[in-house]
Amino acid sequence: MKARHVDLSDSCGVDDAMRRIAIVRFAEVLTLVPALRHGRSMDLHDLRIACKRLRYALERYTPREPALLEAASRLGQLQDALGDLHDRDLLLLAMPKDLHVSAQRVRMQRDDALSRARALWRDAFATYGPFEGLMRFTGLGYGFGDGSAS
Amino acid sequence: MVIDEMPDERIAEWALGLVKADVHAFKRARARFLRQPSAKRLHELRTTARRLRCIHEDLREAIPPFSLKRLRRLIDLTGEARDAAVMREALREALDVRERRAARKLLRMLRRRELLALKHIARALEHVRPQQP
Repeated sequence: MKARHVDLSDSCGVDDAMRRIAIVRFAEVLTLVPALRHGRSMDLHDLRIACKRLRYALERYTPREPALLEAASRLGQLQDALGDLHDRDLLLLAMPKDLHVSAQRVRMQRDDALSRARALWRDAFATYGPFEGLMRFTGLGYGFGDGSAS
Repeated sequence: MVIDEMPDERIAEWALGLVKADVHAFKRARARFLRQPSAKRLHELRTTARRLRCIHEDLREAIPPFSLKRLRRLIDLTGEARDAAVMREALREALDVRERRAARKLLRMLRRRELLALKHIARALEHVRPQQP
């Protein structure tokens, strides 16, 4: 999925530019998060890429905005869970039919990774949870978490 | 390139500082990988290359332009090597003992794919030499 353009042409100051970038990247994640519910591989892959873009952006800002550190760390965990899932999807595509017992194990690992990602997402929106600072910084994400991934 | 149009020079200065740090990290990872390739160094190379691409996506209005074509190619190749290695590891982990024989061909194919990608990475790195902006 191509990254959305961030318009910085009329931004006033570094903090404003940081906020604009974080808003666009967080919005990308929020748009793709229904993938956690339906579990489709391609959409989950796009969600993982969006989490990565947002995390990289937040990590650059944490020296100026330490409140974003927890969100960056949670996004890293989410990325790991979605990465494990993606690796299993690729493996399942490559596995020949006569490996059906092993394929069943790989499918179970995929399901575990998806459950892990769902739990990490839900928990991120708890009061004083990892996304609290990010939500305050961007003004986005209120109302997410409750049922958005279950 | 719109630095002249930026209303705030502090943004351009800040953005340039971030790009310089990422270019420095990439160059260090590149040198380490070329000196002695390993899975850890491949991961480092891939991560620093992706960070460089991401910073370009975020701040392209505020930084001097640079071509991403070769960097993208490198990211694709590191992805191929990494995917093959990870799939091999995941297959070994999940493999049922009764299916060991049937998995040999796939394991060999993944190893070949990884080695080929590593060879291409070494070649691609000769052409990716980002300069400090």
